Amino acid sequence: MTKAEFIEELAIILNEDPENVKPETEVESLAGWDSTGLLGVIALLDGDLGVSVDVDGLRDCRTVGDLVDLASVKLD
Amino acid sequence: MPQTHNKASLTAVEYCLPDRVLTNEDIAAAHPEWSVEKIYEKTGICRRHIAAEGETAADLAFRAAEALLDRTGCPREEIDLLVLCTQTPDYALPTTACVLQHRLGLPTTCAAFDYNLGCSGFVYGLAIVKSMLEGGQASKALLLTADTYSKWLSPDDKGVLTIFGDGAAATLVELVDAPDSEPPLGPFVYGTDGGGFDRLIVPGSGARPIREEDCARMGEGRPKDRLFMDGPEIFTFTIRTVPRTVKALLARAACTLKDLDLIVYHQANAYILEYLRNRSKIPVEKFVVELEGKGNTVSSTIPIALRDIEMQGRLKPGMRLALVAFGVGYSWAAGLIRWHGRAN
Repeated sequence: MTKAEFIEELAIILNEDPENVKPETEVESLAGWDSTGLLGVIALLDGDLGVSVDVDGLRDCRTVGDLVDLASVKLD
Repeated sequence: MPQTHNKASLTAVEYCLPDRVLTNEDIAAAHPEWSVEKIYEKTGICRRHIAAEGETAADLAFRAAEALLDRTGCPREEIDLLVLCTQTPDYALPTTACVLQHRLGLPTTCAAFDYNLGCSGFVYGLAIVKSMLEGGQASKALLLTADTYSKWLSPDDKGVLTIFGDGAAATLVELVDAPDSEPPLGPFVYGTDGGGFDRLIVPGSGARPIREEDCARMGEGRPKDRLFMDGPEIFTFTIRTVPRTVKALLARAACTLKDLDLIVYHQANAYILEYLRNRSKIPVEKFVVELEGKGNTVSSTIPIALRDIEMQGRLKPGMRLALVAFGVGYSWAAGLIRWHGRAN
């Protein structure tokens, strides 16, 4: 999975138009960034990428770029 | 010389749900930011049954047990062990199982006790009862699981309102003839991680006072004495623990998924179940999802699902099943059963 594909997946999970989701986008501004949205992000990181998720680390993410950093070791 | 009636077997299950129903429409009406469709998509649940005011888990357990004894025709005087799993007992003391022994008209020679576990409780109960029966401590057991988490929920916490339902199940475990190579119950594997104790908790529900540091995670403005669930932490715990537990169970039993007819997980919510099913590559036709009309009834989800699939004709005598239970504690347990199924 590339970085762009990862961001597109995030957008789908969080109910946003992929056009509107950029690395600098603040996660709090995303419609689906609530507890159920977090489950989707955890599933994406854990299931699709094999990244061991630390929920506190995930909650500390401020921007989409921070989420990309969590996944970066597994991205192409 | 061959032994007779030497192995504990689960022979019948009944369950009871309270009459009152909470639908997705009801929840969406109170929380317009969540649609009926979104609730279903996120949980796989359409409605949950909620105990009436003054109606307790013990009432539900009583009705489930009465239904079980009626259907099986099992004489009450033969029950010599009554075990109740609940986290919503009638009293801190006395033990609710003692109250139920009397209410059910079971003999005063019957052993009775409660144990406090949540979602892992049914599998634990089977293991406890098996040990007591096969160890010669009792001969016929009534295993009750019952909870009314609704009593702990805040009406403002839609996350937990959508998931939990009240309910109780009654399971009959008896000694039957079975060869050592085909035990009706077991093997079992267990696990515990109390490090997650505060991720699913009702603060102030026991002797320990509510402390500020325990509440730090819960966020501002929420009532501190209601059930708190950290969904993302629970999900992460579950996806890490359950696949490993299933592997450990299969290794202990020296079998593979191919040797099993059905796999019944604790019915937490459909989203988690589908994720776990994929993760462990369990074929859809072997995987049981039965929570649409009941929600997550904590320790009763597995026996309720067993009774539902038995009535649907999906569960047949002789089938070999894996039961996998996980949740609050954190606590988890898994075991194999061979379905006995009484003729009646």
